[in-house]
Amino acid sequence: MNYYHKVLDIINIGKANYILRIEKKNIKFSAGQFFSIGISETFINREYSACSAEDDFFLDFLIREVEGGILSVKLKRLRIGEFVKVLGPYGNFYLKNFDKKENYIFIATGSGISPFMSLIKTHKNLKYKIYHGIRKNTDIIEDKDIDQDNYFKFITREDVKDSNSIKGRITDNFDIIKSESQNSYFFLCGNSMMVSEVYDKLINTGFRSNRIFTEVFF
Amino acid sequence: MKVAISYPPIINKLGQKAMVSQNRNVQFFSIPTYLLPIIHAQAASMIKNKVEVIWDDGNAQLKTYEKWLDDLIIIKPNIIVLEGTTPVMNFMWNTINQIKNKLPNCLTVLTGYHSMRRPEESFEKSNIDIIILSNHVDFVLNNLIDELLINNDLKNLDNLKTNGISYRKSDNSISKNTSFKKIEKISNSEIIERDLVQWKNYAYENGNFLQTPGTYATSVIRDCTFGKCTFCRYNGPELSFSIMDVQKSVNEYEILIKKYGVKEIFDDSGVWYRGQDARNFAKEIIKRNLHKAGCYFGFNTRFEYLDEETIKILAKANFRFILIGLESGSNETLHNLKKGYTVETVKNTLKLLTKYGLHPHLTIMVGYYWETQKMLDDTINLVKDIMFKGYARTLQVTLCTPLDYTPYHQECIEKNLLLTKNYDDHDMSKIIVNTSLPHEKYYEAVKEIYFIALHPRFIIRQFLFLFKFKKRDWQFFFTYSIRALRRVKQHVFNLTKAKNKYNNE
Repeated sequence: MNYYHKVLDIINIGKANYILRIEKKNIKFSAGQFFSIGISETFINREYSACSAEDDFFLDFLIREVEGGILSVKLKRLRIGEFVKVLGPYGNFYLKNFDKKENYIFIATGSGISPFMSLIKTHKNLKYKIYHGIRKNTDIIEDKDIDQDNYFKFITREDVKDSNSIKGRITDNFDIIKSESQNSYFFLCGNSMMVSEVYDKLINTGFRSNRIFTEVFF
Repeated sequence: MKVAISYPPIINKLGQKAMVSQNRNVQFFSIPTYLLPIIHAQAASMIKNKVEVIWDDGNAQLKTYEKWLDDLIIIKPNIIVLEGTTPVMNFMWNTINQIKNKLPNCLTVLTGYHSMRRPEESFEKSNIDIIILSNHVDFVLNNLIDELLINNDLKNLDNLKTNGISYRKSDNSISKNTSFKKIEKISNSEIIERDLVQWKNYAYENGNFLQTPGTYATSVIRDCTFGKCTFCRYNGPELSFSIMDVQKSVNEYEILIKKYGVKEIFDDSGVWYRGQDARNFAKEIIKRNLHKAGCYFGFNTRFEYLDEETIKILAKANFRFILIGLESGSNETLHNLKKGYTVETVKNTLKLLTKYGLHPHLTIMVGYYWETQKMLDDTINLVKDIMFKGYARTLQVTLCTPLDYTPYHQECIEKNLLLTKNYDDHDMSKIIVNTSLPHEKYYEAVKEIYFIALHPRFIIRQFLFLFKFKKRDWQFFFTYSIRALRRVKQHVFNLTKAKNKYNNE
């Protein structure tokens, strides 16, 4: 088995995030799943969810360059044509029974939006809203496949600049999410504190646990 | 209200005790190793201010089964909490029935990954009252106790609201409150109350401690950050990982060292911190001068999780014992197990760990149903190479056994590979699946790997470590030479039994 995939591009998204685009080879995955990615010389790997569509000819990963981090910094410095080691896919965080009539509510912090980007790109007629917790305006994901009208940003460290942005944390502005239909499916992805708190708030508001799905990122 | 958190002593026909080992697996050994059940200890600490908690580990308290049961009957708890895993389920069901027979008004609560995934079976086979469906036993038990205290009627369970439990109603029907949280804020859970759980009972008889008293820390990560290895019980749709704040964990280490005089602390999280959290932890240990207290630290990790910078600072902070799951020397096996790494990087990770004076301990398994002679040879050769070069210091090798309805267990059932329907046979003492090779080959492989400890190249390598003039290497040399012999003898004894049984069949 050859686990090494060629880097096709590094695309900057704002100041802190970038997309690592690599060749897909014969990998098949379900939108929402993650991979283990490493660079040979560092002997370390980390898990990243794909953010490209299932049928794209490449694999994209949205990566936050962590201050003081090792792998996220080195991956960004890779040159086109260099190789990364890719194992996977792993995980159950995908749509088992996709139904275009259903409402899908995606709640993420930081790069926890990656699996949702993959879902949106894969299921073209998905009815969705994204609630995204970020620090700064430069963390906003500008992607042609994300319907900006359905993309709500919760910005903690800067003033907001557009009408779909809200100042503060997701959990502090939960009233906005509370008004979603009781029959919606909720997908939560990001840091464990946010996932845990939003889960509690959804349950306390009367949403059903069998319609809430969670994935934790560091 | 009296709540007993109970571990009955389990002793097999050969007089060996059921020891809870890594991943909460159960193996029978005559050399004792008593491990503190962390989440249950957190549960005890969490409810101690509401109810009278009886920490009742019959194994660690060196009781016979009869003495343990007699004592329990005298204490007469209102609630008894038990933990079971596949190889001891039959025993647990019998024990529950005995308890219910002697103490009919006592509520019994069963926990553990087996009953969590197959609750109906335990209700059918025993008179158990409540089964906890979540791995967050502390949070769920705490909520359950709150509800029972309010209800003030242990005889009527008909409308329990606590999430994450299944329970028996008065008409004997079973109800399930499946709505429960996968991710809890474990930073909000209690740090273990050491005196309550009689920590000293677990402080000495543990083969992984180089210095005693040793103890297990409150796990910083519940279950596993990766959580996809097919054989591991920390893998399932009902599980995710939860993480504890670095400062809170270091606070506990400080108490363990300063108040209890602990000399070795191990964190048994499925996988400990990595990256910045790991570095921040080490920096905090150094900042508080705890690295100079003569206490070693250890944890479980994965290959390719720790970089050189992190390893360096961990070594400075006096970390020593690093338990790391190699599992196999075959990439095909690692792929089938969904381990998320390949053999090519294994030696480099280990080399880095030993370069900075850490003591890597490898866990290896053989007997996967697909394992060919070539895969087995690859594992043996890789392990020999690692041990002869001194890249790891100790190891343990076990037979891969399907347990607790993990994906590997379910795979074995679906492919009709299981050779037994008796849960007692899942005790890791023999291979219980159809394999591509005669079972004898795997037993021989286990023996061959353990005998590395007696090989001159390995022994010379241990001598050479002494010339680094580090205290830990000298301690290791003298302590482990005796332990290695004992352990080799024990494992070979167990496997010879399995092999003889195989030959007789």
